[in-house]
Amino acid sequence: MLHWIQYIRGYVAVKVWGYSVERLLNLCGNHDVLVWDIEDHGDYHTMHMSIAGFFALKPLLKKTGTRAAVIGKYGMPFFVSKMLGRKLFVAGLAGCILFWCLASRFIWDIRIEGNFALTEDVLMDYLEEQGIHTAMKKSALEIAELEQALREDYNLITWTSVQLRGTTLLIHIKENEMPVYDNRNKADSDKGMDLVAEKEGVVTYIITRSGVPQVACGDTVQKGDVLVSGAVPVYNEDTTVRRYQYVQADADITLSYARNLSLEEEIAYDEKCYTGESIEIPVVGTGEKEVAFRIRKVPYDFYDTSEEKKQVQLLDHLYLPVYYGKRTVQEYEIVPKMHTEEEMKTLLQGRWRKIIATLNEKGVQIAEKNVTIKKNEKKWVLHAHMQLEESAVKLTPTITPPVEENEEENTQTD
Amino acid sequence: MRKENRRQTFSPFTKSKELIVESLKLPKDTMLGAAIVTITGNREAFIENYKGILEYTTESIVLQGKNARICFEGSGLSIDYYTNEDMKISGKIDALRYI
Repeated sequence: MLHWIQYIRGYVAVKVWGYSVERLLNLCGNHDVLVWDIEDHGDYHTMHMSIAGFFALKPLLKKTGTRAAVIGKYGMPFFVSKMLGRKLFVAGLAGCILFWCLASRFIWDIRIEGNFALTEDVLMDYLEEQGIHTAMKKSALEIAELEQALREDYNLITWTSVQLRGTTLLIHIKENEMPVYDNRNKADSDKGMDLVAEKEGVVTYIITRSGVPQVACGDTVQKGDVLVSGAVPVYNEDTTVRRYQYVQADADITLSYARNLSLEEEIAYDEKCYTGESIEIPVVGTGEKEVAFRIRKVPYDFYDTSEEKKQVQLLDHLYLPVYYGKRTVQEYEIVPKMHTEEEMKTLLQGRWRKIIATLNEKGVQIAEKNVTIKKNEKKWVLHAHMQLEESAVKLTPTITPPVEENEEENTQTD
Repeated sequence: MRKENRRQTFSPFTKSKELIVESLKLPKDTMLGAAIVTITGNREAFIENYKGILEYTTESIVLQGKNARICFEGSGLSIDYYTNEDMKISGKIDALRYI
């Protein structure tokens, strides 16, 4: 504590020599000049005293016939005056403090945790839409509103927590692990929903759970035909329709349809042969603009260009719009080649398998397939005739009730 | 450890003064001007109620009390601080003598 007071008020180290240092010390005591750390060095004494004390020392020195010299200045007053001499340094220091004070009022980093199905890019884009981005003011952020908006706009998100930690915006979300049902259809359920064919085909299987089936097994349907109606008629005694009750149509329906497919693969092909010659060009860029450090043209006729870029990063997630990297230009020659029969087979089979796999992924079953490969001098062609089965239906709102019904009612009331 | 410095020869006046101070339980250092020397181990000494410094070297420090001189002998002696009321001496103290 005492040291701090001494430091703030400032003190000097004084070297004292002459006739009677002891007498000077006594006089200092009498004149209330505080001295400390008095050391005897034989010829001279050193001591510490306050700045005011040093100025009060002058008459005492004269009186005692001793001499004094300042050998060190310590404390705040000296530090400040020293700093005032270094204007640029002080300005820099002040600027630095100001910068940190200002910078800490903005959000410099956004982190999202707990997302699995929703990618970070999607959420970042969403935040951008909401006006939340890096380098925005902290005061402009409404945490409670953001939490609510996230929950409302994404059905998948069941819980959100938004925190501001320093200059980092931490968004913690929990996704619903249960499958999410599309609520939009349910909202319209009191109006009634029809099941409509999405593709042209033959109905091979139909079991209706709710609604009135409009087709039977073996019927051919066009795209857009109503398969199961959501309007269930309520009959009068005379079997005329009294009114319609609207339900959401629900049924298991399989449509069968034919599909032709042909895959071509040419025997002759051009192969890229890299000559091994390459050039590396350093690249620096910002935004759309890019500067490559090479004046001469690339001396190759055919070449591939690949770029490796790194963005300048300040914090974990804060990137500056400046990137650097290298562009590699590799020369190649085009060599005409022919596929062997084996190669042709594997190529075509690979493509064919991929198509089947994608159909399976979509839930399409292959009831029948007939594959032929035609060979020719130039190319091989794979023809496939497939009979596919798929539950190609979708829900659409029930079309407005038949007019006759209203008319009938009107005539009755009239 | 506290030692009180008293004058060896007493005049009738001082004797009666001392008697009064003692019977009234007044503090002796202020009333009689006696120096108070507090020594911690042999490294530190704290002196109150003295008049001035007579001699100051690393080997000996001689202080003037009201009634006697106090002489510290030792090696590497230095004064940590020094005011009108009190002072602190540090160093290796070998002997304390009243002259």
